[in-house]
Amino acid sequence: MFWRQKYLVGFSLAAFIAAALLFALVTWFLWVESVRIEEARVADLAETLGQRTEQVIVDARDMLDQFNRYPKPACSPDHVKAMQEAAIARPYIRAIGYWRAAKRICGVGFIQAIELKPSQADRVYDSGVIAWWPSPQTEVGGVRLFLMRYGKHDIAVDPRMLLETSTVQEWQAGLWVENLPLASTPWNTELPAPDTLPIGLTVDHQNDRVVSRFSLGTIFPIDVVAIEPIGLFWDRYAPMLGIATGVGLTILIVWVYFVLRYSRHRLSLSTELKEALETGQVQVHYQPIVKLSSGRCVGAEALARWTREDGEIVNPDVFLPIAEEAGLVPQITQVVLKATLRDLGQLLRKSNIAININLAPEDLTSETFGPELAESCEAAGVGPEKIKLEITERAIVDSDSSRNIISDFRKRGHQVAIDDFGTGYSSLSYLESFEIDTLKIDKSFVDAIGRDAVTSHVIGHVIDLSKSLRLETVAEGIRTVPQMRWLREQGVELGQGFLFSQPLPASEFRHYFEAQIDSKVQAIRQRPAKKVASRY
Amino acid sequence: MLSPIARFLILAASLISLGGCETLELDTSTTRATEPATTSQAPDTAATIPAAPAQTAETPKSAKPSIPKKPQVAVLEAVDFAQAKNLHMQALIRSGAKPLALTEVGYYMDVQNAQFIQQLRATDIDIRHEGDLIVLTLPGGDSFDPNSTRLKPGAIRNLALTAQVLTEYAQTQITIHGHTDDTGEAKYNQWLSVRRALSVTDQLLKAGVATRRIAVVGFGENSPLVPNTTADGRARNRRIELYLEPIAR
Repeated sequence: MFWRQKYLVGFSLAAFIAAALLFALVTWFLWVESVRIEEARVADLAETLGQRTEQVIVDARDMLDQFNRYPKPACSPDHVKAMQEAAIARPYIRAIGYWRAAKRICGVGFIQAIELKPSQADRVYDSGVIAWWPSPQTEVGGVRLFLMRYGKHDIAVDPRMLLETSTVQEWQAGLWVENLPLASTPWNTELPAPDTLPIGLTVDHQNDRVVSRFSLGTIFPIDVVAIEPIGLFWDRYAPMLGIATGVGLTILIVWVYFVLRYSRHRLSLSTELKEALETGQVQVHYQPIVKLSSGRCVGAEALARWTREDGEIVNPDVFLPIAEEAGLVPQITQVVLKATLRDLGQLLRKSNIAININLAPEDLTSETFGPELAESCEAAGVGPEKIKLEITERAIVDSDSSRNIISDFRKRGHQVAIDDFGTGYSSLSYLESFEIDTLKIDKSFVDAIGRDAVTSHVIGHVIDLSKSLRLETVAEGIRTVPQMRWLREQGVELGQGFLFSQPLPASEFRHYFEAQIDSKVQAIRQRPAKKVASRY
Repeated sequence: MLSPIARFLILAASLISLGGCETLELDTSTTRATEPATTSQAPDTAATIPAAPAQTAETPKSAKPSIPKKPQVAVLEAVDFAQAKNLHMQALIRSGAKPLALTEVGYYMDVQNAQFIQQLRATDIDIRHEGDLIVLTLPGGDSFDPNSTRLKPGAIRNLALTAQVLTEYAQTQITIHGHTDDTGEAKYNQWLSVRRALSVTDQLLKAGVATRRIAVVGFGENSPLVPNTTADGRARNRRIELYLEPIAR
């Protein structure tokens, strides 16, 4: 019972951890992916804006340079016309001016009556280009302009034109050139300075926003800072995360379903077994026992097989512990006994083979088993000598009552065999005090034949012991011809195992037995022929 | 006891100084030659300044004839220089130079500086812009031959470019500082520094810069930029500096 709970807890825990891990992994991956896509988006935006800004600045500089070389007299109609055309061609230009020292002599554009003379230049380049970033001193009509002067000409740039809303979309974005703020959108938004931000995407949980900074610097160092409310970020990636959650939950549910199914399977096995015993889902297969000297079948061991509703075959080593826990062993014995008598009754009556039936410890302490056995045999018309009873060493230890019961069985005419001999932890004294006919040597000893293991020496002594007590010896689990030969040479008369046949359903066993008689086969019937052949 | 090497060095040094004297005589002749140009220059209103050049330079006898008799530009005393310069500025404004409004001083000097950067990009003139002050430095070695007060052709070209900006930005006072290294006699160096500053002045006047805007001062060997211990250091100390300040109250 304990192992089952342990299994259940272990499996549930493993299932939960695995599902949670998978879920976390999927979520993590999607988060990383969302951030990556978003970063790529902002990087694109930054690059577009940066390149545009760079273009504007370089273009403005070249334009001013050309005007400085203008061959015709300053402020002549041609000069003014040229300036006018240059300004019209560039939507970001608000004005072009011609200056002598600090006096604007002529110019074009929206700025005519005002001379913008900020008191402190922000940048003076090696070329002699001088620039003033937007400030209150460059403000005209509520717009802070970017000013650039080269020689005697200057230009006023409307920085809003550098941050087109179509590119920026729902972002709050700011453009820094040479680490000085040039423009932002929506207008006059306060944005964190780029040098206070790490490059890339940062989730600012404090202010519920996603802050991005990207930098490029082909000609000027340009930074773009973009801010998006975290809600918008979620909106964009919610479908993706939703799908991920769906997938994750599906995985979780499927997983939990399987785990539950499995654990229920384990838990309800005893109930199911009980039901199976009642509805005849437990069948009996028969493993032939043959005479090693002739290969003739002299009997069989009846083994319970449970075929579940879904067709799954459960072996005794799985369901017997469950049956023991649930106290269902006597019922299994009954089922096996009845099935044997039903399936092979005719065969038992007309031939001299005997069928071995395994008894559980409970059967030996039960007062009803003996009479029931006798009754069943009588009803089927099968003599008690045709039913051999196999008892494990563990079942008979320290039990006077079991000694009596065994004695009673023998008195009625049943033979008694000790099953799995050598695997119990008992003293051998019971061999003398119990009335026993047969020793069945456990297959672990047979497996060891021919191997240089301690057990391989033990089997010789077991056989000698059996002989000296004048007991019939049956070797279990014979798989190979050398094992069979060795056992035969040691004087073991009987054996069972895959070398001869696997456990067979009743009808197949009958065929097996009858075929043997018909063909008078002296040789060994090798049912899994391929298996044997492959060994030699 | 002097080693033979030391003796040789002393001999070499005396020879060099002799050579220097010869160049000096050559100089005086060239200065004289430039003088007609200076005098031919239509003098702007000459500032009256306490420090007359005759008093400043106790020059070697050979150089005496070269001192201008009629001061056309203000030659300031290195002693009490700051006060003298201030007086010059006051006189400049009194004489009718239009002072800049305080609000436009920054812009004026910024664009002037940018203009110098553009104009003098290809020259060896160093431009420094600190606050409202612009300092143009003409390296001595590239502008004058040793002990000569005559400008080299390259320097004359550079000064012509400088003057273009100076004439456009007329609301600027120009103080021309002459400096020498510490080779030779201090008095001689003092004289030389003034003479060289005046040579520069001549060029600017020729290019049309108003005389009244200019003040000259010689610091001789007294204001080295770096210690005069190496040849390179001395070269850096031989220099002419143009201090440009906005005309403002």
